[in-house]
This record gives sequence, structure tokens and C-alpha cells, in this order.
Amino acid sequence: MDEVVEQIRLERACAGMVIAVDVTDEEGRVLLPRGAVLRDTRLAMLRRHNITRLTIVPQAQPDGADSRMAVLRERIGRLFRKHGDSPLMRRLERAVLDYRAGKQP
Amino acid sequence: MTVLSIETMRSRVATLPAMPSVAMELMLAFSDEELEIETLARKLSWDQALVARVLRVANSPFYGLRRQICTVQEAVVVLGLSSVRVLVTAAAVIGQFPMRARRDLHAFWQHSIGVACCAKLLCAHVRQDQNTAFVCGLLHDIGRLVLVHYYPEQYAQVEDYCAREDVSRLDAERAVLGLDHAAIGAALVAHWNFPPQIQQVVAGHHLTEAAAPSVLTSLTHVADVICHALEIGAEPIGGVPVLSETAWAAAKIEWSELTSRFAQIEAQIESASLLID
Repeated sequence: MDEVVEQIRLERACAGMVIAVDVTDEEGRVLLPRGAVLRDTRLAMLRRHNITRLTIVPQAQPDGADSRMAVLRERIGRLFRKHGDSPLMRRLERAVLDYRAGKQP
Repeated sequence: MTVLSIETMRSRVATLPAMPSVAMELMLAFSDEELEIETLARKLSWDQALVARVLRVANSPFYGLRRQICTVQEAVVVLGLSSVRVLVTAAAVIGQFPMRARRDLHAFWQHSIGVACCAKLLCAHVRQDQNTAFVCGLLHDIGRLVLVHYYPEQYAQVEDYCAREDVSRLDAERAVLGLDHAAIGAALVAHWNFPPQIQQVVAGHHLTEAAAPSVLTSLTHVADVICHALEIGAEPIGGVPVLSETAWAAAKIEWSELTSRFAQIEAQIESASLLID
């Protein structure tokens, strides 16, 4: 099955989008591999390298509370991605998730 | 790898402008309750940019004042001397590095102000001076600004390394430059004549040293991790830094009160952010 992708201009790209095709510089060096998640710092890096277009995985439109919670969990999970084995960090992650969930009813 | 030696950095830092003397006087006199308001106002009047920043925060919705504050004297009467002192110090520190039109510097100060507000809130439990905690938070990453301003090419390599390898800025700085922002920050804060306890916090806030951290260092570390977890200001490259168990224990925070703390922190940051141009 063909993968659905979307090409966008860099100025339309934002944190959280997933790269569908390797981003390379003029000399073919991979700046960001396929599957990388965009973050503000990565966007800044791409701007520094004069990248103007990106191919991304189209984002699902969240609908309803479950989807919103899933998006929240995914976003906060990404922030804590390196601390799966630390009980203290797991607890902090839980506290942030609860706080964000309560704040965005 | 572009190695920068700490000796080179110290020499560079020594050429940077000193802090405005009025800010330093206030900083060193945090415990001086006898400070004359008139003297403070007169000295401050030499630096109108500083006064403007302070008044902008004083008039923010956070303080909920019914009327406009127009002078330093009024600010002292309404907010209290200690609040005004810390605002002046913060405004002076931020004024040392021209903002230019850089979004990343705005994010940098947002994070630093966040850590400052958070450290100030957390220190109520542990009997530390709130103003000193605020200044520690504000200055904790200041070494990074030296790199961004004076070594932009080398720092671009650091940022690229972070993005490529998904590591923290601290690890990337060590890998690419051979030293980190904490060491540079400590040198700058020493150059600015901040007290040794603040220099220690700036040097040690990542808690990578074997020595037991001071309470202020622990508080600043916890505040830093919390602000990264709340995504305040600069994005935490490489994810939220790991929270030290020793520092968490020293901060004496109850889990049950943490979420209400988050709300307080975000409310305070909103008004304190007016210190940024």
C-alpha cells in the first residue's frame, strides 16, 4: 500500500509533525531521518541549513476527549521518553499529565 | 569537535561589561532593611530602561493593582522593597544581553524566568531567601548566552549535534566544545561579583558533581526540571532532564501539592515575562 505523505513549506511546519522522507542538505547529508519528530530546535536547525520544503506524515485530526487525551499523553510521553525506568520521573510525568488534562477540559 | 578551554572562556568573560552598579548594590543588600527608598530611586533614575522594565511588571495583572504605578517610590510602597529589589536585579541581568530579534533568546529568558519564579515558590518550605532563589533561577543557564552571543558558529554546531543525536544541550556542549554552559556561567557570575553561593548554584545546577549540593542548588535543579516538564520557554532538547533524588528530597515538596504549584508557577511567569523586551 502506498504511504500517504504531504509536502509542506518549512514555514508551515510545526513541532510534533513527523518527517516522512529523509531531509538532506545540499551535499546529501541526512539532517533529519525519516520518522523523526519535529521540534522547535529541529525546525531552527533546518532553517539554518536553508531547507525550504519538507515531506511529512499527515497529522490525524483529533476529535473528542479520548483523542485529546491521547495527543496529550503522546506529547508529554515524548518529553519523558528517556526516563522509563525512573519511578521519580514517571511520577513527575503523571503529575504533568494530570495537570494538563485538568487544565484543558 | 571545536574545543574551547575554560581559560579562554574566563578571559572572554572578563571583557564583558560589568553589571549596572545599582543592581549590584541592591543584590548585595538583599538583607539590608534600612536601605533608603529615596536613595534607591535616585540611583535607579540614572537607568530609565531599567526603571521602565520594573514598572511594566509592577503594573502587570499579576499584582492586580487598581491604579497605575508610575515611579519607583510608588512601586516600593505598593509591592514592597524586596520585590522591587529583585525586579531591578532581574531587569539588569536581562539587559546585559541585547535581545535582537531572536525568538530563541526570548525562549531562553522565558525558561530562565520560569525557573526563577519556580525556585522562589519552592523555597518557602526550606527557609531559603526567596530573592536569592529567584536570582539563582534567573542566572542558572546564563553561560549559554555567552556561547550564543560570542561563539555563534560553535554553538550552531552544538545545536545541530543536539538535534541529530537527540541529546541534551549539556551533553552536546561537552561533546562538541569540551566544556559546558554551567562552567562558563559560573565564570560570568563571578565576573559580575554575585555572591559565592550563587556562583555555586550556576556551576552545579545539573548536579553532575559528586559533592553534595547546597539547598539552593537543589532547589534550582528541581525548578529547572519542573520548568522543562511544563515546557516553559526553550524546548527541552533530548527530553526533560532527569530529576536528582537527592535534590528532590532536599526541596521537600509534597506530591499532593505539586499540581497546584504548577498553576502558581505559570501565573507568576506570565507577569514576570514582561521583564523581557
